[in-house]
Amino acid sequence: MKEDTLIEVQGLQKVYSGKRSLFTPSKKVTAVKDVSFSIRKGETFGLIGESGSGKTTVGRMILRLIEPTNGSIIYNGQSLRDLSNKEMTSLRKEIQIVFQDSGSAFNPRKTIGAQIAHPLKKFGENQDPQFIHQQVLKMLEVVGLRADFFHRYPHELSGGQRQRAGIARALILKPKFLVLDEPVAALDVSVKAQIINLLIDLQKEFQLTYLFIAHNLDLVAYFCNRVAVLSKGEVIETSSTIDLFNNPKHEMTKKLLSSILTLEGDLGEVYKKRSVI
Amino acid sequence: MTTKWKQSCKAFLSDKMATTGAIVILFSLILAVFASWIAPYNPNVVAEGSTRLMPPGTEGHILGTDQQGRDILSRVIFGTQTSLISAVIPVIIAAIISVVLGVIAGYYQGFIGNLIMRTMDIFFAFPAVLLAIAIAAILGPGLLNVIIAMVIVRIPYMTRVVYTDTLQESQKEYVEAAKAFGIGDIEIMFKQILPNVLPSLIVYSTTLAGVTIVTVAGLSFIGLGVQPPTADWGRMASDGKKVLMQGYAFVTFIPGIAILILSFSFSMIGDGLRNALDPYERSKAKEKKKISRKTSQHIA
Repeated sequence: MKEDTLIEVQGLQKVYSGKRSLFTPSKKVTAVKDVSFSIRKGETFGLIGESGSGKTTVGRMILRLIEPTNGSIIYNGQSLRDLSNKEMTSLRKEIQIVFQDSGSAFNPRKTIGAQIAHPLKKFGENQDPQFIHQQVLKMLEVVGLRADFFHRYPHELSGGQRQRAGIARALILKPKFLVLDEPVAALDVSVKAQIINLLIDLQKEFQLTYLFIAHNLDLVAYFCNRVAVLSKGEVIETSSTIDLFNNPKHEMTKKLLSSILTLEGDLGEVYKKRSVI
Repeated sequence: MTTKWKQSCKAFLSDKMATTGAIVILFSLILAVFASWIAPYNPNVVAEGSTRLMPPGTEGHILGTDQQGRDILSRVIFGTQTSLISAVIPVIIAAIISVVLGVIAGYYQGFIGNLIMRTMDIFFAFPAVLLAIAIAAILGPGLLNVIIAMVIVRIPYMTRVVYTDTLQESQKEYVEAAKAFGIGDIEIMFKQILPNVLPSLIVYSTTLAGVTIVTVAGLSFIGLGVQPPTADWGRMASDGKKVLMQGYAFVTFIPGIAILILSFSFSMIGDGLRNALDPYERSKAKEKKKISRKTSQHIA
């Protein structure tokens, strides 16, 4: 393992045993077949794949929200799978996640402020309520939300605002590594850009390492240093973003690249075609 | 917390049906607690100077007397006691047990979930009323046994409601977020998931309380409930059936109407409670009010 590697995933595998009934043998479903990659400190590593390729499962396994069937996850020299529950709990401060669907990522019955404060109340060293309140307000400001969002309920926020709050919650314990599980897939284009820019700013400010999970390549070029392409539970290509875009090796990667929607080309042509139709 | 309570109360009071239901239940609660002061006669003794089957409107007996000459109004007032006790207490006890069973089954699923839910299915195999009759018959008549029977009968239904909601909630990402912070299972189950499951259970419980009044009255009607001479609506209706076709229908009808009103009131507060407890519904109701106010101003 190299000096600057933060997290290394080796031969990760997840097999679901499937439904078992009295008369049919259980059908095994392999969600993740064989995934290996390593992420360096301070970089943004993209994990790209179609839906069903197992990318979300990989993200969840790194956080041990899903137990892997096989393989190892080395974080900062420690094997995550060998840690006891207690050790894992203390390590959870350093590894956090931002979810895709900000609508269900917050408990609808608790205020945004209370939910951002929750991890601090549970695991923070300073338990002074005044201090916790200040920390939450500071974090709201960092992600670009006004202080009065503290007392709001999740449904009173827009998707973009909720995603900002989700980032605030993930950052409240000052993690080092963040799994971004399609954080902008559910947002519209202008908000997408704002959130990505916020993430880039935060990375500099807090020296974060990102695992960016996405189903297409349109933001990867802008956001990621290196990319792994996942297909049917296997990594088919890992390279730097520049190499991937200039010289894709695998058929699947080429397909993903060609699916990016851009405004290049003659717009007039496009309109002509449309008018014919 | 206090502002939350205020908001909830406000939302509840803005619902007229629910408020009416709540007032009726409050009123019957007062009747039940102060029955011995409010009732004009002793409910179990024939008053001096009264005869059998006096029609409603007779002087001194507004609702008339039954076939033994006892004052029906007093008996209805005292009957509120058993009706409220047998409606509310079994539902509360059943709700507490169901919350624990349903949340555990829905959160862990797998073996524990199957064990709990399949056991519930055994109870589901019997019609509720039949099961209640069977249990009450085995335990013998009496108020306590009726309560025990009703608790057992209601648990499977309520557990199912809690289970389905928990199943849905535990797949949401806020649960995963809590897990990602290393928050323990018990806290996730009872502090994160439970508040989201509770409203539908409360709504269901109030409806069930209404149904339970009817079932308990039914048990009394066939002689398995409260024993005479204690005043009980189901028993009163049952006693009246002997003279029902002889022009004295009021002996049966008056306690029947009392059962109807009380059970209907419980059903009415159900909806109001749901709106009051859900922050999303609450703000929706507020929005609706704003719009209607605006439109009414517009028209004016």
